[in-house]
Amino acid sequence: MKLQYIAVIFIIIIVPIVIITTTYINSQITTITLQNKYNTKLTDATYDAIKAFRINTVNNRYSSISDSKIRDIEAAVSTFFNTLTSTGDLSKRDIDAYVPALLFTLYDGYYIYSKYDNVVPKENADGDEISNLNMKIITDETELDTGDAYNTDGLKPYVFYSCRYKDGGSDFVVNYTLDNAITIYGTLRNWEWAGNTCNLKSGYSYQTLSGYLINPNYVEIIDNGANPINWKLKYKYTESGTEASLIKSEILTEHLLFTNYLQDASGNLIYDTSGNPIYDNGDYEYIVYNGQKIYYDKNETTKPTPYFYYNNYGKSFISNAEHNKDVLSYLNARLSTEADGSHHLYSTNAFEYYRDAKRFSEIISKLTDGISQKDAVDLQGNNIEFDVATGDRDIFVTNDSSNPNDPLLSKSIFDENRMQVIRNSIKTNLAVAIGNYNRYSTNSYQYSFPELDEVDWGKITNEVSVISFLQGIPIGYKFYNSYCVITNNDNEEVVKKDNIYIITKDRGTENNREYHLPGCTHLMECEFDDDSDIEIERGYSSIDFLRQTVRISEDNNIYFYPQTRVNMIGGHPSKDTKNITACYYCMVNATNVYSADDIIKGEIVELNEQEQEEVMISVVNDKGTTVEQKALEKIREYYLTALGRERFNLYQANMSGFNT
Amino acid sequence: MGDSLITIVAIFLAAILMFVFPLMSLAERTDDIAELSVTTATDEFVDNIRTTGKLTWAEYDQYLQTINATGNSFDVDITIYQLDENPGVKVTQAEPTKIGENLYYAKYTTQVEEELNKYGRMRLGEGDLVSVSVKNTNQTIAQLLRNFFYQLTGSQTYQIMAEKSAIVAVNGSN
Repeated sequence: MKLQYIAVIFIIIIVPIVIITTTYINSQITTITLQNKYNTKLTDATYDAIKAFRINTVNNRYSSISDSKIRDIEAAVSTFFNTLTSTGDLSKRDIDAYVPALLFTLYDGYYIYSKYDNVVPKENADGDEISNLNMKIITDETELDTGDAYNTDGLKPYVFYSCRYKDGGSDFVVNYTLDNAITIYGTLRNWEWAGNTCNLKSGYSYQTLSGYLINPNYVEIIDNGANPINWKLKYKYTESGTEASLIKSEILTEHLLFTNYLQDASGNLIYDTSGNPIYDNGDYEYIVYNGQKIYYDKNETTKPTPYFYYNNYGKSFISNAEHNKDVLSYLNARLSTEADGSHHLYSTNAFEYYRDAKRFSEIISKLTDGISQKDAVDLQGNNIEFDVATGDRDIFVTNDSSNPNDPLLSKSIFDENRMQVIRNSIKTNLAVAIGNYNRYSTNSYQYSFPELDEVDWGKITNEVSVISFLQGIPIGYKFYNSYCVITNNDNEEVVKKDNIYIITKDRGTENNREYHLPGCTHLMECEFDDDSDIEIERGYSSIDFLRQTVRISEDNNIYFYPQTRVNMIGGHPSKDTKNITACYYCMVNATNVYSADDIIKGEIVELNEQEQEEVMISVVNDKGTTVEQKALEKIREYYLTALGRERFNLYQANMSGFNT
Repeated sequence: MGDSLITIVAIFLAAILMFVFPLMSLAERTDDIAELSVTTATDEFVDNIRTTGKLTWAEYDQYLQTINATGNSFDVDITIYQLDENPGVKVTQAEPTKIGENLYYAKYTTQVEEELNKYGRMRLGEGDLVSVSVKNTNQTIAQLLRNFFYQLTGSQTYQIMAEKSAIVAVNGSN
């Protein structure tokens, strides 16, 4: 055969191969590009959803109330779809079909946004026919599966992070939360509180108990007398030792901005240098009562009481009416009169948190002695299998020094079980919601719950998060199937251990105020002696450092930060506040900070040169009177105070009878 | 004479058609596949930083291994802009719309690597920007063949590249 023929045959063979390979690879590139595009979109949309939720809760003074929370979440859902459809070629209606579920995990439970049958049963719970509904009656269940007339997208009922435990005569349900708060209800041993201990009595009864679980051996009450201002307790360094961080009453201050203009004594407006009237603003001491902040106006003399709520961007003073008797006696008991005749409002919430938690934990330790993971049962009474087994170690007994279990610390038996229960509950309900979606979907795609990786479960079980699922979009020769988990703790749902910021300032002044993470290495190097240049002012929740909006009218907003301070010029507040800056070492560049667990334990553990864990700084290390040790003692004291106070102050909509 | 010349030209053309064209084409496809896997790895790497708020040495190492497994050597440029939203946390009533100065502190590859070496991880905050760009530094077969026919010079000639940048969505935890 001539060379030319061979060449032609070769070309005939090779050209189609090259063309097919090229086409195939190009289609793969298109697929991957589309997949990456959807990944980015999904992350963007989920981020926007949680951001919307955060903005709404921070600026909504009633956000903890259930109805209001549902509204905030529905707004977040709508933000999610807006972002997902804003830049793409798919409309909301198109994309809607590919989102089988959205999950919002909150403080003590979660909402699933998914499709459901919008139908009512024919009969009520008593078996009576519901007749006065002007609705079509469905006689055949298959009707539900056809068309979309009867199903709708929406939030399914709130599901608590709960688990049932059954052992002997005890049969109860525990509602977990994202932190150490629990509610126990069901049949429990009878008990009585005598002196300072809990004694078990014979028999069982139905009970509901709510509170924060801590290791009660760490808490030693020093003063719980008639005057709340003197209340104090020790949170010890070790279970058996005497050295401790002191938790006592404290003065809390916030800056507020109002919508009314500042006036002088004769009622004339006060102007700034450029001729604009100045909005009224000032610093006020406050305490939290029933989840609401109540401020004290020390200059107020005309109103019946000097206490007010910050409502509608103005002062709403508390009247002397009979129904305010309780709150006023609570406030008056905490208003001091100093030697110079001035008054201060003292918050005792941190003390109350540890005092109540100690009592609650002692009761729970007695009532649930012997309850371990193997006693967890489902509705039918069958044992539940968890992914991480903690065997027969007691979950809720926290005061047994031979079996360390401090619920404040991560990786304790309690914390491990808390995470497992949350994970189990979400997995079960979400798998059902996504599986059911196949009933409503007209796509050929089979919707199913994807396998979430461990890092994502870690985020879901510890933080307020939004998890979005996007499945079944045809991309090239494949179907897109992915999920996204975005967390956020800057909201009024939860106070995580990292959500406490510590403020430092120049000694004796309000200058150079700076806020830090509790584990800030820079803060740890400071000397906090009586003659040091800077001192710790107080710890506050991280949301007090977020910008608050004051709405004057449509499109006219002014803003303020609660933790800035008023700047007095010429005897009146000026239009600018004194600033507070974020620490560069921990807030801006957060790489090297110690963990909050280390601060609670009073021990900084780091890897040494041999890559072994070593205690570098410890509050109980007698050898060192190093600067760091003193700093750690101080930081621990302010940190624990702030953590207790902020957790106590959260409005617990679903936890009635707290600490009873 | 004329026949021999045509035969030589035909042999030459046949050689190009039979060897060089398929070789070039396949070499280009190989690079496409390499680029595909580098793009995917880069996207995953950046998305991971974005949703966890942190970058660990292990993840960075894994990423480098993945892209080097394509058989090429790469130049990886990471830039992280750390946000200081409002250094002087204040809002003046005269400029009510001004939310913050939004300052960014930039960190480049060497600084990021230094920090990862020292602490094993890098914590980022919400609003920080991460940008990763990779380019191959070796000459791939496709580049060699192409240079044989039409010479391209300069340091910016690369065949495989991927870029991805994103805003970090969460505050990283320990």
